[in-house]
Amino acid sequence: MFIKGMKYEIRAVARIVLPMFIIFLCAAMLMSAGFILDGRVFHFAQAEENEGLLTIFHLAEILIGIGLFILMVAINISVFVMVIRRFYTSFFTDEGYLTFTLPLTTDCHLMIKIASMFFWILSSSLVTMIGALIIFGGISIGYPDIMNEVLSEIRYVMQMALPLLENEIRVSRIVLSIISMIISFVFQSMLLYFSITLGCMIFRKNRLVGAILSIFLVDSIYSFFSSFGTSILSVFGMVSQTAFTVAYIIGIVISVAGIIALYCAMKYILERKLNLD
Amino acid sequence: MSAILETKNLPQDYRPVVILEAKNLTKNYGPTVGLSNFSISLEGGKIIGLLGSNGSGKTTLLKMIAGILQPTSGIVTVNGLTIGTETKKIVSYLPERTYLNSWMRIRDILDYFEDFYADFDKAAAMRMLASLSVNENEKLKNLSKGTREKVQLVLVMSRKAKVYLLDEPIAGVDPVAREFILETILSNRAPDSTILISTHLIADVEKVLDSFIFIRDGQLLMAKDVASVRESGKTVDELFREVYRCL
Repeated sequence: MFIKGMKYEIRAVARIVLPMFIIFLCAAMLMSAGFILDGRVFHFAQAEENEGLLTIFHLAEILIGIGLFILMVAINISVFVMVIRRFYTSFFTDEGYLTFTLPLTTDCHLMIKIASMFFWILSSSLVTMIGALIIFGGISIGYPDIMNEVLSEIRYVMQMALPLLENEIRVSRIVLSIISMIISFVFQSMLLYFSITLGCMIFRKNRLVGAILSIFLVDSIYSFFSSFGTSILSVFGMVSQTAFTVAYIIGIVISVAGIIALYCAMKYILERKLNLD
Repeated sequence: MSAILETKNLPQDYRPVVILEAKNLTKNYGPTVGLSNFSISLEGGKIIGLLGSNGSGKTTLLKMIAGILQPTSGIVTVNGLTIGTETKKIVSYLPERTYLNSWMRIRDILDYFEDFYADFDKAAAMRMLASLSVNENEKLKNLSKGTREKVQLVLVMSRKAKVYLLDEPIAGVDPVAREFILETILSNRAPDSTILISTHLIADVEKVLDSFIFIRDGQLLMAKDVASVRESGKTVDELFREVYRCL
């Protein structure tokens, strides 16, 4: 049932997000082709004779670049908004009549929503990275000299920085950072979902307003405690590395406890307190 | 108040199977009472009319059986099970509003129901949709409101469920559409299934009912077999007017 639920959840978001992904990748390819053309063809041609055309070409390239950047930001925001919107509509609007009469457990419903958020955020990051790689590919083909120069600069910076960071870079620390990142992501998603659920439970007559208000309120409370936690972490960091690591791990454990608490609270509301009008 | 619906013309050794039971069911919406201490026990295999004026608690009761609403107190069971995943497998619910995703195509919705409900008969649904001349490739948002409601009814009645909960299926539709709806309900119900139809249009559904429940202000007023009312020379519609006029 989880797989089936995921299939429809992904499909619901994909119908809006996939065309955006495709447009973004096409624009990245266009820009990449522009770099190749500019570097390989126009650059070696007698540019003076076609100065006007070349200016228009460069202008178009800049415009595509700006468009691409806007599209990249828009995609990441839209994916996020779409996933949140799906959570709201499938649970708290008329669609909830179908959602809550499906023979699925509340756990299954919630896991589908969390997995869907994870899937789409990961996908949009991946598409953004692919787009960036396509553009860099175009630059490296069009302007190999410039690219080599950039790469050698990066290599130089790394050579300088690595000895300084030698004590900082450890496998255990990298693993800890990745775990922390995933937990933080899940926690943020759960916090958002919980805010919507809480808002929709309290404001039965105007659930959308309730959900939005709740997001801001819960986020403000969380930000207060979060900044408090970050300050403590910084203080520990100043004491010693070990103290910092211990505080970091305690932070992760608190986040995990938070995830469990938010999950249980959401489950309780959806099972016991939610009344669809 | 409680009631047990009687079963007529059955063998002596027949033991009625209770398919749906509500005990002291109460639902409050803040200070407003949706349902008050409502108890009933319904036998399987019947078409039961849940009759009452607007705001009498019909929808509240159906929603609680479907698992959309949580009771303030009391308990509901379907086939001996408390409301949950297992009861949702055997209860087919038609709400009074459109709950389907308007961007979905009809064929996607059919797949959706087939994926989630083991008792969904896709072939039967396709036959009924064909009789309505609904194109499977059409998106739901392109259909008229009436056709959308019919599609929803087709989906609900294409399940071989043990209990069908139909909330105002004939409200706001023309007489021809009412005929279609009642015909669809009667010809597609699973054998031995129980249908609970809520409506305030009693005269239209009376002919298909085996039993009825009168409900008012969230309380059970009366629960009887239609045959026993007819024996007394009245129609259910007449009885309804009589009972509600006295209150």
